[in-house]
Amino acid sequence: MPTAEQGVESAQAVIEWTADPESWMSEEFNDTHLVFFKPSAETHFLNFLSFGALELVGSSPATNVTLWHALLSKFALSEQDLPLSLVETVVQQLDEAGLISPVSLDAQNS
Amino acid sequence: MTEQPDTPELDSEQQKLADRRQLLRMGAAGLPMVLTLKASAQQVLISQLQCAFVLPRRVRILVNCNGAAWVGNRRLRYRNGQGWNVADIKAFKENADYVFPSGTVPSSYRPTACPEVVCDADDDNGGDDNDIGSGNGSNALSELDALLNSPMPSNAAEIASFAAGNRRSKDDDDDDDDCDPEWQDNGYARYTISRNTEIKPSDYLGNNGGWNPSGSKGLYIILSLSYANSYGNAGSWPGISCVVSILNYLGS
Repeated sequence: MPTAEQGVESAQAVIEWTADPESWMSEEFNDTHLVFFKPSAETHFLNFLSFGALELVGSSPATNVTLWHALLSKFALSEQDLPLSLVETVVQQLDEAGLISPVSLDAQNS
Repeated sequence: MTEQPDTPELDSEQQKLADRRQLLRMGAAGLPMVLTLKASAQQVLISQLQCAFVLPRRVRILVNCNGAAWVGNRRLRYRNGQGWNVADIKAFKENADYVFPSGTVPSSYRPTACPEVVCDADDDNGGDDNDIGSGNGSNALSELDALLNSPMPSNAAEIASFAAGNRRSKDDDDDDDDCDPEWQDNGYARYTISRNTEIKPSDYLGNNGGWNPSGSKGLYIILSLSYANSYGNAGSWPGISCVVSILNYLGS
């Protein structure tokens, strides 16, 4: 029988994340991206992985797992190089920064 | 011609991939993948303008028709058709924690008429008792501007008695002994703000940087500005440091 914690984990796994590409402006410096997020007027430093995740989620909503596969393909990385847990961490940090947000249930049901 | 292999670029790509792998290892070890600049100009603006404070206890503000105000916590009974309880008014004024002189409160917050039976003396405010009629609130902001731009009062009688415990003297000859009616019609307006009410001064800031007070909390802001105008950050007026920080930001 799954525990409550496992239930939360599985719920997290199916959350789709989205972002509005119009909401930020970015500039790249040596594989680091300076991102100005218009809604909050905050500036963020993103490395290649977190910026890649932001771009992918901005182009199409993705779950942690689909985003993981897309990042592996985009950057030609192996699963050893990029474990799923690191993608989950990146997603969490992007969410905390307000750069991405979960797709609303209303949007999912429509 | 034999085309030279583009080895420098390949090396660069390999180096880039190696750097990325190193970064990913550091990320797996806990290196943040997203860094946010917290010390932006926006943050400074928010920290100075977005302060708020909570009133530690209920605040009652009594305003007379001349725009003087008494701030305290005692009861103030009012009966429809009869008016204010004279003894309550007298006790409230005598035991007020803070007293503000005539002209402090804009007309929109004043009672619509002065008392028909004068049972207390407002002369101790140094104000001109008879020059203000029924307030209609139309010039509240200009009055507030005039207040904030006015110099500090030089006459001791005009200076509000702010310090807690600095009660007015019992023998200040306020003619209350001649006051026969128990209830007094008109002449005062009462505002009450509950204990633990949060006040955010920036809610009363207009787009042009001027103040736009409304409601009981707006009146509290007006009195706070008057207090700050005379005493700055000193004293125990709840929320004064927040108001002063905003005034400093606005360059007032």
